[in-house]
Amino acid sequence: MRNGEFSRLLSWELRHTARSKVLWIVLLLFGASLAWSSLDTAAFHRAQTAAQERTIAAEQAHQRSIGQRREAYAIPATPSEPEVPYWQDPTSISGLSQYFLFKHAMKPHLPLSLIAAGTSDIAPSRLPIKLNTLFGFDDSYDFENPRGLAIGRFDMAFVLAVLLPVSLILIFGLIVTFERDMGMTRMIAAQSASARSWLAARFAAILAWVLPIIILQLLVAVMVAGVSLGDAPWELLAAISLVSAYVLLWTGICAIILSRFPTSSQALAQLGAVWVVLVAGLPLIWFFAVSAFDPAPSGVGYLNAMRSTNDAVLAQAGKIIQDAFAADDKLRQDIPLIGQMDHATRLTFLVPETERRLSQLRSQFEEHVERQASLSHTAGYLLPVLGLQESLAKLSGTDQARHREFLRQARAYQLDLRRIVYPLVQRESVAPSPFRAPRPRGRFNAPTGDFLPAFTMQDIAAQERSASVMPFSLWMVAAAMALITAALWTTRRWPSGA
Amino acid sequence: MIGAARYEILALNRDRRAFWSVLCLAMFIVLAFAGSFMEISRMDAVKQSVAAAERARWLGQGEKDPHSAAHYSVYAFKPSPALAALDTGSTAFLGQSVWLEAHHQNDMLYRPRQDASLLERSGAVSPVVLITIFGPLIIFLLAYTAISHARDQGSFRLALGTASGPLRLAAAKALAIWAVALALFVIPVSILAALTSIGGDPVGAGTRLVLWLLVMSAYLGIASLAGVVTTLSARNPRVALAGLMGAWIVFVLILPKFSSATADTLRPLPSSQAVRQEMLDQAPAYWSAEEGKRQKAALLARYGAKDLSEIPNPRMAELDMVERHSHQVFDRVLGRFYGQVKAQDRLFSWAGIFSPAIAATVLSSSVTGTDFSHHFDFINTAELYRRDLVNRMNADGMAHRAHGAERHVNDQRLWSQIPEFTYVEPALSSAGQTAVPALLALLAWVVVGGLCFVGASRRLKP
Repeated sequence: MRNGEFSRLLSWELRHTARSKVLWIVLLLFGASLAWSSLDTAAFHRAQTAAQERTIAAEQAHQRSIGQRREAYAIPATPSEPEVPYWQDPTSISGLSQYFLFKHAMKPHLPLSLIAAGTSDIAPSRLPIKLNTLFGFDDSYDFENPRGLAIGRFDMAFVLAVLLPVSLILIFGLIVTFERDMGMTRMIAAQSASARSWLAARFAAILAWVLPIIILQLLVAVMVAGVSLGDAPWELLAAISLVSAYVLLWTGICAIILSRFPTSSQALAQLGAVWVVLVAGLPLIWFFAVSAFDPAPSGVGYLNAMRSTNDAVLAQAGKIIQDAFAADDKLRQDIPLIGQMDHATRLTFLVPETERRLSQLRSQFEEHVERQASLSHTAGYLLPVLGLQESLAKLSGTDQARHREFLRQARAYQLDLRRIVYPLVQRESVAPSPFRAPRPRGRFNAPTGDFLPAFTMQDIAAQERSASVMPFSLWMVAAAMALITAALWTTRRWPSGA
Repeated sequence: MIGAARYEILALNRDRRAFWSVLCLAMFIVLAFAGSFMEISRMDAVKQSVAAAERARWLGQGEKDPHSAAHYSVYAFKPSPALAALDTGSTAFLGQSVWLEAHHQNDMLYRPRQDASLLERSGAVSPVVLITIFGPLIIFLLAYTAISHARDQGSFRLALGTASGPLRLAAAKALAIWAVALALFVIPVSILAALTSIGGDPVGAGTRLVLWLLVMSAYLGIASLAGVVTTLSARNPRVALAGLMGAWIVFVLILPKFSSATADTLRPLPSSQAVRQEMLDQAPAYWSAEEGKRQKAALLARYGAKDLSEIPNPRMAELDMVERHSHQVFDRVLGRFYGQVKAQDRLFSWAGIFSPAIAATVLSSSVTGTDFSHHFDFINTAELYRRDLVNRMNADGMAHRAHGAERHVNDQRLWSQIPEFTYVEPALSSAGQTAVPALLALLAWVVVGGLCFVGASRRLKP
């Protein structure tokens, strides 16, 4: 491939490609899809953020209501205004622990969350944290229309990972095969240009138009959704590198097929087949294998175990609490008081025991999820469509790994709250605080005000998040280079019979 | 005509590219069926065994206060629809069990894809997804191959000159493509579905299966007509190919997701947080002392009593009153919420006018009983069972005198009066109304496709 020859061809191809209607129609459609998807995902995430803000407002209102009740229950008890039962009394530490704790763990959206909906449509971004819920939180979720979940969101990750290859296949498949379809290949072959120069120039020209326009469309789509480019510069750079590498990879795939000078129908059929296999075929086979050999533990089965464990723990409650008292130096001498304990205090002993008995089963779930996540990550390298979606979700903070971290932190938060509240509840059961005189309506043995910490999600730094997708980006570039090199090698001479 | 179509099938079979593509998709569809069926069977087996354990636990809970029994209660499990392996629809994203406890209309929990990795979510496709998304792509390829190839070789012009009419020739091609698609994509999984759904309600499942076959046949028929019409009408094969690919991208890849998101945007749902907060505010499971005072006043008014001692079991009467109030709240708040979900689905169903893929998707999930309307029927059935259970427990308490620290208890004699929870899939006529717009849309697509086909065929000149 001579440089002068290639430059001349490239310059001609650049002008010629710019006149292609296919190029502009496809890019226009693609850009519109990208813009709409970013607007839609941004709106979806804004609604989730608004729900989180309402939750914070509800927590504050709840705290105010507790304050008002503290005032109302401070008055001396009378026959008409008697003492309040502990489960209605936020001034009682045991009542507070079980019936008045209204705390939430929330996973905030990151600035570039609009790039990929990821798990944000299925995994909860808000978890009510109660002291006595097993393992931190219920299996609750924010209801999204299941039809939408099944169809999948029209987010930027979908547009970039699924529609972008189809767009590239159409553009390359139709523009590169023009001469072959028109029976003009022999005429070009008779010219001085080599097959390699000619094909390389055409690919380079298409890429020179497509790549910058797609990057520009990406940036515009992010901006029209209300995100400033300076809000997440590292993530944005990483996203640009991913998309560029992905475009290169699909250019390489197209080059391999088109280097054999097929007709447009042959090219589109073969490229379409590659796309179908990568988007649906291989994930389907993978899922089939996984569900056959490593099926997910059954949630319903877990429920069964939980019910029977709860029953067993309740049946042995007396002994469990007695053992707990006997094992604790501060409680040991007060075993006779066990019978006078209220339900909330008993739970401080029974819930940890229930968790201990279920922990093995719980670990099986967590290990399965970890295993699947690891498999999914590895598969991303073989199935770039999935790899790109996963990487974009990582940059957006809507990936499964961040969600698992959120769940881990929410559980740690619950344990922190237990470490603060449980000793207060248990101490009251053995060494009750003296009643105020005259005896008020409330018990007044709980600390005043909001004495419990709020949950704050700790995230990794933006640079670290962005760096984590670079290996995949580099892998795609390497694969693209290999494919393009192979394609160039194939085109060392004009095909016979074209 | 049949003879001509038979010849066209032979001609299609000669094109190896098309042959392998068709075979590959057919294999993926059967694999998807097997995967879905395995998962559903595994899930249903667990549900059945846990439901039996739940019943045993309910009966064997021992002697206790009936209201405590209503709190203990049971879990109800939603059985998978008989044809779910054909189209899992929304099933993977819907809760599979619900705790029927006093004071709460709980959410259905344990969605199969709750913790799914991206790979699991992408790979867990059911046959209908492959048929609706990739079926048209293969059909377009077949149509293009059948017509363009013949055109390139000049045999198409020759055939037009000799055939009894261009319509007949075009119809033979369309019929051949449709027959191949139907025979390889739809019939095998229909036979498998028929074999695997024998156990339950054979008439109901059989009817639904026939309807599903009709829907898929209509959908693939529309794709076949569109493929042939576009290829016949295009100036040259490249334009035909670009047109077909473009149509496939827009109608099958973009519009379903776009319309789904648009339906959700135009008919937005309130957040679960807002719904739960509203229920918590209006029907709290644990009420304050002040609310308790108001409730006691209401109770006295209801019984026409001056003092609680005149009511046989005031605690239970208060619980019953609060419970019945919560039913009204749940009906109002959740009824409105689920109504909004259905409105979204109805709007999406109307979007079938813009794309036959949408119409087919909606109809398929409705016919197989895997859409939200069918799920809603389960929610209602479970909630009615819960209310009956809780009301009967409270009624037993109210019928027995208990004041102050006194407690009335009951045992298995009462628990066994509560029938076991069972669920029968609703009739399609009652749960399939969301899909009516999609049905009209699909029929309209068939008519439009047919008219375009006749028009395009008549314009053909040798």
